[in-house]
Amino acid sequence: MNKWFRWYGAASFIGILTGIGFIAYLLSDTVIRWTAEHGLSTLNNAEVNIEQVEWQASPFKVDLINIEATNPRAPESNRAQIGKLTVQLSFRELMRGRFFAREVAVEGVAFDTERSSRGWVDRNPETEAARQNWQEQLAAWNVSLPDTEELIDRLALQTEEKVEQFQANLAERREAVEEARENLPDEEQLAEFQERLEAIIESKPESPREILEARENLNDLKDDVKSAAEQVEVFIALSSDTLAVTRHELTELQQVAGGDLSRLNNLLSLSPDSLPNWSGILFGPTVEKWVTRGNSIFQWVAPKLKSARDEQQRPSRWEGRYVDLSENRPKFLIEQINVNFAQWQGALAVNINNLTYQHGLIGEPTTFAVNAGATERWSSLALSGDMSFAGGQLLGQQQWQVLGLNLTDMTLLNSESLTAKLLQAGVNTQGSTRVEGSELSGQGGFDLSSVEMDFGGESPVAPRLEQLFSSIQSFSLGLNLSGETTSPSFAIETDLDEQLAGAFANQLRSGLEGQVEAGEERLQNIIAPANSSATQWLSAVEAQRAEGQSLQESLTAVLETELDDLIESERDRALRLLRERIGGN
Amino acid sequence: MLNLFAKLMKALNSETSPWSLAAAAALAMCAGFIPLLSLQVLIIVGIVFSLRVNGSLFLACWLFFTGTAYLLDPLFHSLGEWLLAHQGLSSFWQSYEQANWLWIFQLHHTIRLGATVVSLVLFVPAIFFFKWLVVHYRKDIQARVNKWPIMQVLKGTKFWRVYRSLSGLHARGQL
Repeated sequence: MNKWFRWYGAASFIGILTGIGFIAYLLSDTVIRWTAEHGLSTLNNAEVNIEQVEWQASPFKVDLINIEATNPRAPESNRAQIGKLTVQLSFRELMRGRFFAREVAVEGVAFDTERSSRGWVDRNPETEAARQNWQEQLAAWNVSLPDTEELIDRLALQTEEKVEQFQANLAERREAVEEARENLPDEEQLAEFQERLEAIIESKPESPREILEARENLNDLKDDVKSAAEQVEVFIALSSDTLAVTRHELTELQQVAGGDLSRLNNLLSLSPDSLPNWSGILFGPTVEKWVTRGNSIFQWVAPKLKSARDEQQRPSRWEGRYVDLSENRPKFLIEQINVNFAQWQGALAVNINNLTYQHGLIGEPTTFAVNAGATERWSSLALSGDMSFAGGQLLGQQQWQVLGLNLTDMTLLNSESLTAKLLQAGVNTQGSTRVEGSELSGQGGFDLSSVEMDFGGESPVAPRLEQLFSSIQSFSLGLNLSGETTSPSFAIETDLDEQLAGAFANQLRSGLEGQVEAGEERLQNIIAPANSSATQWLSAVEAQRAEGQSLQESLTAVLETELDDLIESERDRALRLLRERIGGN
Repeated sequence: MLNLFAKLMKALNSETSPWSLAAAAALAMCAGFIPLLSLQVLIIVGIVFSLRVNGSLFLACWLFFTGTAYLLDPLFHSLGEWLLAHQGLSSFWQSYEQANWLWIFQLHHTIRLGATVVSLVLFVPAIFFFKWLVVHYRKDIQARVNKWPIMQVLKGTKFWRVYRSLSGLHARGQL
């Protein structure tokens, strides 16, 4: 026996194994804690800390005590803090490659708790991209809200711009009129026409040769007079147009002061679109948080289950795979998860049943429900839903209804420039969401009543917002959900913006009355110089046009008179020729 | 590493039983083929500790066969898949599934099963093959190997001193 067997070798081996086992036992807490922290941090995309780990071998049970999951969007706080998480696992199933837990108990869950130190965050580009850009909207908030004086300033500026435009137009027209006026026939030219005409008339042509010569002279004169008449016509037309257009513009300009101020009330009927997105800025982050929490089971659990399923189904030639020899038992199943919350007086509990990705094997969907009795915070609260993988796709739906929810001291915004706090509000909400594949859809409504808000911060809009909200007691927020389950987008439909715009307009109108007269005078003062110079010039143009018309009449008369005379002269010559041919005198 | 190689050369060149060397190489083949984190490997290591097989050769061959196993893993995977899906073995697998202790061998993992089966099948032939190899080496190759220039060079190095010192210790019965 001793020829082949080494007793000291066997003893050494057993000794080494025992030593390794003892060290493993001593380090087990640390190993379990490190493994759990590492795995949960990966799932959370941010640091997860576990204060203490306890475990027992039979039945195999692990207690994770005080778990803090960093909020990736605010690493100074925890997304969730769990007092104690107890998992009772089947070690036998675990060694067969199956995760089977009859019960997982999660106690003392609290959201948004403070961390003792900032947690590290694994930046995920998709998560970053999915974030609603409320901060940018907050930056836009720095645009101050207009008041009555500012509106009048805006009108004055508009009036000044109009006056400048009017004066520029006037200068152009003045130049054009002057140019046309310079082209008018001067007195010398008119005297020349007169002389030539008189010379033709006085020549009294009798012989055909004389008549022919006079006709040629007449045609030459006619061409020159017509050319001059055309210039006169152009001037008259231009001056008439200029007078009409300029008078019209001047009338408009004179109406600006009184007219625009009288239209100020219309201007104050502000469209909600012209103001900042109040509902988004004030309630966007909170609604986003509600949506994230409300759909957490779809956003967090479902993708993890799907990825676990894909991993199980993917065979690897180099790593091998665990073959499920018992095809009627799921590889991952938690029969029951009970979650109790530290917040809300411990009245809230969540139950999840049959958490798995192999619903076909157990023949039931994963169901979840939030159970809550009436408390000081709400009169009734119900949320339930289910989800299952079917045909390679996740199908899920959930409904919620919360009545008589009392919100108090809820911080909506907390920046240096503006803080907004919902001091008090009663909320009724209901809605539903649905998941098909990776697409999330759904809608919900929030009716807020007895709303009291408090605003603070460096921004000058803070006190004005406080005033505006003092007149708003209730409003509704409608929510439409869409997009990916992991990064849902949502649109808010609300009458809040309209109410705020109305309140804002009323506030402006109340301060308007005493300022109208001063505003009118200010606008008149802007218009007066332009009005005076334009009126003087228009009078001059009027006179010039009258001169032009007189000239045109004279030229026309001259031309007509000359023709009559010529016809008369021809008639006399024909009669005289006739009498000579007859033989009379 | 140098020490291990020296020990290996010593074992091959000494009067160590060829069966001892062959058993070490065959066990190393099994330990190398089967994935490291397996009860099977632990048992093999226990056997090596407990039986008078050559430890140096076992370690050297374990390294060699672990490397070889990476190339053979797809083969083990396919064999494991085939065995686990074989209709004729379904009752055996049902028994395996129901048994309270067999799962510790993790035979429902394709590569582990394939490697275990290949190791079991090849173990006995491997012993005879490695024994023949050791005898053949000592008879026909050892003298020629000692004449290789590389061995002459090695003899002037620390390696040879280690080898000689080990041989001396062994001759004095201290090793």
